Amino acid sequence: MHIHKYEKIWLTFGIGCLVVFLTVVGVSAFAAGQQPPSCLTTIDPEKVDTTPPFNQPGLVKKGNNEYELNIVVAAFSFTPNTIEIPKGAKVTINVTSKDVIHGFQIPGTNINMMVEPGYVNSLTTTFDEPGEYTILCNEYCGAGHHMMTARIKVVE
Amino acid sequence: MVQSLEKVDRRDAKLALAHLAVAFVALALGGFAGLLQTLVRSGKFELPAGISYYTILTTHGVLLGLVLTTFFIIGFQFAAVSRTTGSLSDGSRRLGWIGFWMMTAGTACTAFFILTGQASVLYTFYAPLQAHAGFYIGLALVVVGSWVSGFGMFAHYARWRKAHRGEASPLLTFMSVTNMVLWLVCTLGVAATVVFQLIPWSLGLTDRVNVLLSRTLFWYFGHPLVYFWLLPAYMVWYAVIPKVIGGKIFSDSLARLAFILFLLFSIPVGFHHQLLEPGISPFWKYVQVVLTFMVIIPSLMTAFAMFATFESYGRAQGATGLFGWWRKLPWGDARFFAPFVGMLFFIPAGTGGIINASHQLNQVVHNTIWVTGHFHLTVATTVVLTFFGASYWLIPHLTGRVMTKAMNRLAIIQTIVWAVGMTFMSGSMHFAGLLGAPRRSAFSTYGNSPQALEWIPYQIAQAVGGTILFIGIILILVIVINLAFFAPKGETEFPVAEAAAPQERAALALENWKLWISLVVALILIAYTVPLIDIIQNAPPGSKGYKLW
Amino acid sequence: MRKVTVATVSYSYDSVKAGKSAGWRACLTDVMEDEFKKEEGDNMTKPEWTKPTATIRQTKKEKEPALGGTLASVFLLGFFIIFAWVSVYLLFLHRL
Repeated sequence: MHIHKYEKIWLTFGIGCLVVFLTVVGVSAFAAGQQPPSCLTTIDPEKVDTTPPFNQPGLVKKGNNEYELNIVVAAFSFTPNTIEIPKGAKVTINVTSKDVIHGFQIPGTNINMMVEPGYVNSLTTTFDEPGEYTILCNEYCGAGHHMMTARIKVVE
Repeated sequence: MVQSLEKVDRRDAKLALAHLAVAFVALALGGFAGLLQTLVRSGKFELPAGISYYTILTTHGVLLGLVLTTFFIIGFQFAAVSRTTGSLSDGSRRLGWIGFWMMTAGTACTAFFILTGQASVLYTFYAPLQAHAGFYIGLALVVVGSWVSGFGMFAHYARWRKAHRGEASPLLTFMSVTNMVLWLVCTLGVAATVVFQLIPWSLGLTDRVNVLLSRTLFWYFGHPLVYFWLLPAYMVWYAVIPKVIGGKIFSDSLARLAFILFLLFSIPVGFHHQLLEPGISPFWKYVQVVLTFMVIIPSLMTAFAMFATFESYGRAQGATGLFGWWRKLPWGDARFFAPFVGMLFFIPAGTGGIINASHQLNQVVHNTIWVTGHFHLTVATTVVLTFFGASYWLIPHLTGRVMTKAMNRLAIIQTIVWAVGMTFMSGSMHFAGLLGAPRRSAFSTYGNSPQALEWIPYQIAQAVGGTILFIGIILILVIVINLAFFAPKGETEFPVAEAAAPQERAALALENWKLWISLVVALILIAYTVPLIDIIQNAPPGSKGYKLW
Repeated sequence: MRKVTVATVSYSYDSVKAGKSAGWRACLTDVMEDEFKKEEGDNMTKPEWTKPTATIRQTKKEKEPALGGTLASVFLLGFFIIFAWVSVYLLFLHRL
């Protein structure tokens, strides 16, 4: 198959760029732990309210400025829906759904994950900037989808 | 230059036109729904009679993303194979009509349940939101109908190959067949979840559904779906546009190779729509991210081929300098201009796609309105403008009419209107998405959240864009109705380009379906077997159905 | 059906298009294609056959069409992709 010299140059450059992109995200995902949220833990969606840690949703201190934030997601609320977190805290957010698929997103941050019935999803983040953050649902879940919201206040 | 006046058989033309008619009706209704959505999301308009935003959104997605596309594509492909490999046999044509009526009946059934508010589940219908069983049954009919049409095309192709042993099939037929193979393989996933999971579940025959399995089967289908849309646009670019401008196909073999690469790499990649989900390990997500990046390559090849076609033509017309050839292109010919604007918009469109698929980078954009901005560039501009551009010769060719200068001028205006509207709408969607604005959401300030209030000006820009786009829809409907019923009678060419160089042996070698289908199956098995077994074996208790709208 | 004679070789344009020509004929075909492209504008005037052998030698060197504008265009596209990707990547890093 005849390929023009310039096309060879272009494809070498283009594929090279793709390899660089893949390497950058691959290395930072696998070596530096920046994986997208992919928790494999399962849970019975009808027993969320009696299964730890979701039987007591909220902020739990785990260590020096290290916390676990367990949130129960349902149509159309996040429980708890106001959380106060100290500045600089490293927080592991665990979420699960009692009914349908929801999203869990904090605009202006990388905190963005799917919440699915039967599964726990999880991501760890550090809240360095004080202020008020909005949690919202970004996966359609019914009539009240756009009313699902909660607040995180990061305080000094 | 002598115009080629090979005509599509009258009976095949009727089949193709029937498909196009449904496609444009879907465009009108779905487009109107889109206008309403942008107005609601501006915060300044409420839907009357208590109609739900999400019913309108479901209508918009299903009619435009599934009906407009599938019908236009199958109609176009029937016309293309009839034009390039001869009239359909009675058997193939019969299969085409059976497929058409099944798809139309299915569409009507699904549309009924959506419009009566019994299926506000959006066009992705994620379980455990549960629509009325009729919604799923209608969709299954559409899919199975498309298979019947596909078999009609395959039968036609097989007949041609038997009669032309040792010859590579004409480019448009080869590409149509490749696209239908892709469609058949990928629809197996959505058919599996709809027929074996969702229909029994929505009928009450089963109590619970494995949610992650259903989503995974859907996205196994959902990504190649967008290539099912894109490839016919590429068919027009590769095999028609060179003839429209007066040039030749830059490389027939590389065009075929690109399509085979699409067939191989557009299917085993569904996880890049599931990057932030639980239940799927990051390792398998990354494997499918790598495979996704492979499917970028044939688009890089296509970009080169398009520029090369234009430059070769321009230089043959005497253009000099590095970019002088741009001036030689027929900007005043809507058959070129509309698809060209589609190509132009594919630059940000494809770029956004690369970003979306970049593993953890997806956290910046997932389920934000950036994604909506992205696919309004890819399908709603690149693909749709190319389809409009094709309609400007296809419809008059099939109806025995000609496009007048006035209609051509209107078509140029329509293209510009579309481009301006989309720039406003998709542009503001991209930026609002980076600010975190969610997709698939009616108007809300999220309790007066300071972040949410930032998005409102962008939503007003989206409403401006959406209104301009709706004007664009009215214009295209005017043109299409004219071309179908009122334009002066005459002969319009169905332009089919010739290759610049004699056909290479590679062209025939690429027609090796046993090899390609084996490779497709192998890649799918590699990408999906382990995670699918995991999803089934380690499944949590299934979910009952919910009707939350 | 066009028949063109170059030296002692004769073939028809259509049979060449159908790919039935052997490798060395393909070289001549490139010559033919260039000639045909030139004459498309001026309505089938006679092609120039003044120096067939010289043309063949020349053609072997300039066999590849001039695609400088194409190369520039795709690289502009490439830089756009890189710019956009890096921008979002930096945004991601900033938000970590």
